[in-house]
This record gives sequence, structure tokens and C-alpha cells, in this order.
Amino acid sequence: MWWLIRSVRRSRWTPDGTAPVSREFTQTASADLIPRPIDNGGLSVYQIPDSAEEKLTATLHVVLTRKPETVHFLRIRRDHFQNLPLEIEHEFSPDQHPYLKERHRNIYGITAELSVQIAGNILSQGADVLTITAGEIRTRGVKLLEDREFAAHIAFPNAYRR
Amino acid sequence: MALAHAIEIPAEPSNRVRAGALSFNAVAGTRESALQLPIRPPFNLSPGSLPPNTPDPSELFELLAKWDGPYAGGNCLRQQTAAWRLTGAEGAAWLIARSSEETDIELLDRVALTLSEIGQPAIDPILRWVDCSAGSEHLCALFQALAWMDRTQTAESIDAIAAAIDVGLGSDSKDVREKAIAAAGALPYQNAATLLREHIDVERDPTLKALTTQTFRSLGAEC
Repeated sequence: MWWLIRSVRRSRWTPDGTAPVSREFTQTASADLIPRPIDNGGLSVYQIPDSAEEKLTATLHVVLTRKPETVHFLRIRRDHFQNLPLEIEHEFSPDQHPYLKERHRNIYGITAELSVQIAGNILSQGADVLTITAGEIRTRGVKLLEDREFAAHIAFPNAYRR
Repeated sequence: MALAHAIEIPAEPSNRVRAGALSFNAVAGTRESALQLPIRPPFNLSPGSLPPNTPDPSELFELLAKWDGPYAGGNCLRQQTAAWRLTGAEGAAWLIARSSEETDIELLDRVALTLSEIGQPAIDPILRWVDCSAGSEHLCALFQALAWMDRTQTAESIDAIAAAIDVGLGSDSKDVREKAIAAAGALPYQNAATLLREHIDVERDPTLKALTTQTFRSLGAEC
């Protein structure tokens, strides 16, 4: 089991070369792990039981809330924050689609200092980034528009009608 | 105009909020707060420069920052983007200036979505900011906005947009180049093909090279 962090910048997690990652690089990457006030202080992630579900979850998140774009999701595992004082809560927005509601989690307790530590843990093992292209997002969105249950949740349906 | 109160907020509270600390009844934005924005030349805008009865961008921005929970429903998002469209070029310029120091990727994504929904009136402010060297995170949002804009909105400014994208494709930042590739792919075939064909030869990053090739191939599929 692992968690997908929504929307990271690929460059923050893919250092050039194989030399040990610098403190500065780790600090920059950690910006993707700092909880936003909007999430009530929790880091918003999706909990994924197996690889079969991760791409569908990530794609649904994008199709339902955005227009098509190439997106990068960071995979994190429990050992990335082993022994750190963090709490994982099952929380969701009332307007989320049930599929995403079921998988959405907030990770609480990540301070700026801990975010650097976690980023260091991730980068030291080689960050694992899931990329989904705009073409894949668009293809899925066009199909979901035909499904009334999903179509009602798509915030920008016209973007998938072109 | 208290636009926040005109936008329909679902009654159901957000489950994200713990310990019952619900707070989505008002927006904190004020016209005064907008005067402290990091506005750079050539812009010198404040909400006060907008025509009377135009929605207040600072109020709208507060909603944009809370684009989650009760503010994230499709109907609510559509009302917000409709309100932004009323602000036109002035609102777009204000939004770009206001977001120039932001680093939150999701917030910048919403800025890009909003600019793309404002459409043609946002193009000139976007191009002026691309030209005055915005930070790389901000540039990503501006190119993403161009990538998401409907072709009917960009038709009159294609040459200027293509020139701006060309600058983005030459950026040192891989993230900016990625977004510029996306924006190039949204141009009409001839402009897009020219930019992408040239970029395939010079792109150094393997992932971006593959993305450029894929975007170039998808042009053929759209023709």
C-alpha cells in the first residue's frame, strides 16, 4: 500500500546526475510536502491499495477537477515517514466523487522541518513519480462524459468535448 | 459588490474540517489588501481601477484559494469562473500580478484555469508577464493557461503567442519547458508543428523529448 501526493513538479523530484542530492535540492522538493492551509493543515493524498488502482485514481482526480494536462504524482510509502509523529485521517470533501472520497486521506503533523526530512528519505531511495499525459487524461475524460454518474462531477466538461 | 455571498455555497459542511471548526461563511478579501500586492511594471492595477459593478478580484481570489470543500462543486466553480470573466483584461492582469509570488502548485493551477476561462482578454496580460520574466512557477501557470485556452480565444494573437511559447521552450527550467510544450500543442497545426519540430531536435531532457514527440504526433490526429 502506498499514497499518491497530488500534483508535484517533476523537476523537484528528478535530480540531474547520480551524485548525492544536495540539501538545497531537498529543500526545494520539500515544498510539495508542506500542507496547505486549505487542507486544514493536512497533506492531501490518495491511499492506493495496489498498482491497478493508482492510474485510475490519479486520472479521475484530474478529469473531475481540471482541464486536460500532463500531471505528475509522487508515490510515497510508509517507510518514507517511519517513526515520525504523523497521523493519517480518512477525510474528504462532500462534493468529491465516491471513488475519490473512499481513497482520500490527509496526513497530519508535517511541519516544515519534517517535510525536509521526508523529502530526504524519498530522494535518498530515488523518488517514484507517476506521470500521466494530457492525451491520456483527455481520452479518459471523453469516455467519462458518456457516463452520467461521472459526467455530473466533471467541473470543466467542455474541455473534454473538443 | 459582495460577490462571495452571491455565489451559491452548498449547505453541507466539508468533512475535511476537523473538530467542527467550520468557516466558509465569508471571504476576507478587502479592496485595501489589494493595494499591497506585488505588482510590477507595466501593471499598476488595483480593484479600484475596474469599472463599477465589476466583481472584486480580491474577493474572488479568496474563493480561488479556497477552491476546495464547499467551494469545489462544479456549479460553484462555474459561477466563480463566470464572475472572473466579467472582470476582463483588468481582472486577468490583477490575478496574474496577485499570483506572481505564489508557489502552491494547486493554487497556480486554478489561476491557470481561471485565466483560460477569461479567455481572449487575458492574453495580452499573460504575454506581457511572460515578457517581463516572471518566476518559473508563475511562468508554468501562464503557459498552462495558454494551453487550456480555446482556439477561438487565441486566434487573433497567434503570432504573439507562438513567439512567447518559443521563449518558454528555450527556458532553463524543465517545468517551464513542459508547460510551453503543452501550450505549443494547443496552437493551430502550422504554428504548433513548426515549434514542436524544432524543439524535438534541441530538447535535452529525455522525458520532455518524448513528450514533445507525443504532442507533435497528436497534432496529426487532430487534423
